[in-house]
Amino acid sequence: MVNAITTENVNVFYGDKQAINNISLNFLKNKVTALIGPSGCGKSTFLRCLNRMNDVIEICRVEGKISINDQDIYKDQIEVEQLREKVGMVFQKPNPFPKSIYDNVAYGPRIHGFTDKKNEMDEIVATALKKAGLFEEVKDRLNDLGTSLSGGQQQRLCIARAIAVKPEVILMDEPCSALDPIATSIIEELITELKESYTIIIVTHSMQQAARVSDKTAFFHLGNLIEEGDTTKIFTKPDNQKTNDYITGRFG
Amino acid sequence: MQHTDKNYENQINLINENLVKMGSILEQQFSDALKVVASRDQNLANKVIEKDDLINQLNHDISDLVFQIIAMRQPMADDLRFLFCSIKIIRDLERIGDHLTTVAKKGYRVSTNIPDQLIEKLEVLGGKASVMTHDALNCLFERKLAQADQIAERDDIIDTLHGNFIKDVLSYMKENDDFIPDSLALIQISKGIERIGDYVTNIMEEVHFLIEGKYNNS
Repeated sequence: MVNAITTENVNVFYGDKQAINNISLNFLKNKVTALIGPSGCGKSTFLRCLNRMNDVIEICRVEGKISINDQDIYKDQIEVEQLREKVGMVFQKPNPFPKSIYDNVAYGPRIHGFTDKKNEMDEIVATALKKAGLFEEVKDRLNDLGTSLSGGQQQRLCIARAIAVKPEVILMDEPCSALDPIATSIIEELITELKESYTIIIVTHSMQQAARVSDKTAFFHLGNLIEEGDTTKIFTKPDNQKTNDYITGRFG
Repeated sequence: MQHTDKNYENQINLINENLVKMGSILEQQFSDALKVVASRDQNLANKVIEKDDLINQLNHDISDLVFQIIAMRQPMADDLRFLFCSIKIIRDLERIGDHLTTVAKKGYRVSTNIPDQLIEKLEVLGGKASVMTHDALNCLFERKLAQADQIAERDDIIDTLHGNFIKDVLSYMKENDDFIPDSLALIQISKGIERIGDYVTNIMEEVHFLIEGKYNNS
């Protein structure tokens, strides 16, 4: 088992307030890891550390070591753009650019200079859309606005946009919370397919979703990592009483 | 800690209460069935037989509730283990009820000419199985792992006593062919009690799973 991301003694502060307390958690390559926990437990904050999304928050300070392929992403002079080519992200609300479906997907490959040949870019866009399970539905209207798609399709477009730059890791912050059950099922099935090629880390409030899609689950509470392990174990016989109480609906 | 959703908490509690009810009825049935064997009291036998309906009803009530909770609430962790364990345990409890009915039905018909020593041996066997059942039910409600494993081991004693009793009855039958039907009834009673030991062992295995999330031998 190879780790895609390793984290060591991560502490995160928003001003004086500590949001993450000394968390060390590794993410296995080509596995889906779910981060669960009540609101304010630090799971999204932690997720956002993994591609330095917290950099833009001025009062936010990240301590500790986060490495991708043994490279410390907060040191080693890594450019954020370079990092985010490796670590893509999909958000809670689908947020396609106000551009065509085609340009949404082509945006990343263009800025990273993947190619300037039209036919090659067509291929990149088609491949990403196919991997995101959207190609068949949009192939005849690639010039339509991304925002004209349904919510579920928009989210898959965002996934296509994320994978177009060939990342190693995809972070998903509650990717289905704005979607109906069918669109959710499609995304969940997609997650299972995508892990063949990518490492996926998903924050979710839905315990059932975490149970359905993930291989590993980590439970956060008040900025602490309470327990992590195989998803089947976490949801059937967690070691920690707090984990048990949270996932059975006794608090949170 | 209680569930945030009080209705959920109440549903889980209701299952537990019904299990307690089922257990206490069975314990009463067990005690009465053994008295029937000793006294051949037909009225008491009928009481045992009638109570079987209650056990069957509780079996269905618990089963329905578990089914509903699984459909409506997608239980997890200790709730899931408890529901999974309950659904298996109630089957065993229901079977124990059936065997006690057999003990009562056969018990009051056994001739009073059967030697006391045989009846007493049956009472010893029944007494052991009855205490085992009582301890098992306590263990289920108190969730004590060490006890669960220890109680399951007692089934060997029940099996040995049953085996010895069968030998005794067979020797008696050979000498007293007028009492073959009564001897067969004794064998059926003993077999019923021996089976109860097996069901109690199953229940203890489920309690082990309930507490540990895995079976004792896995």
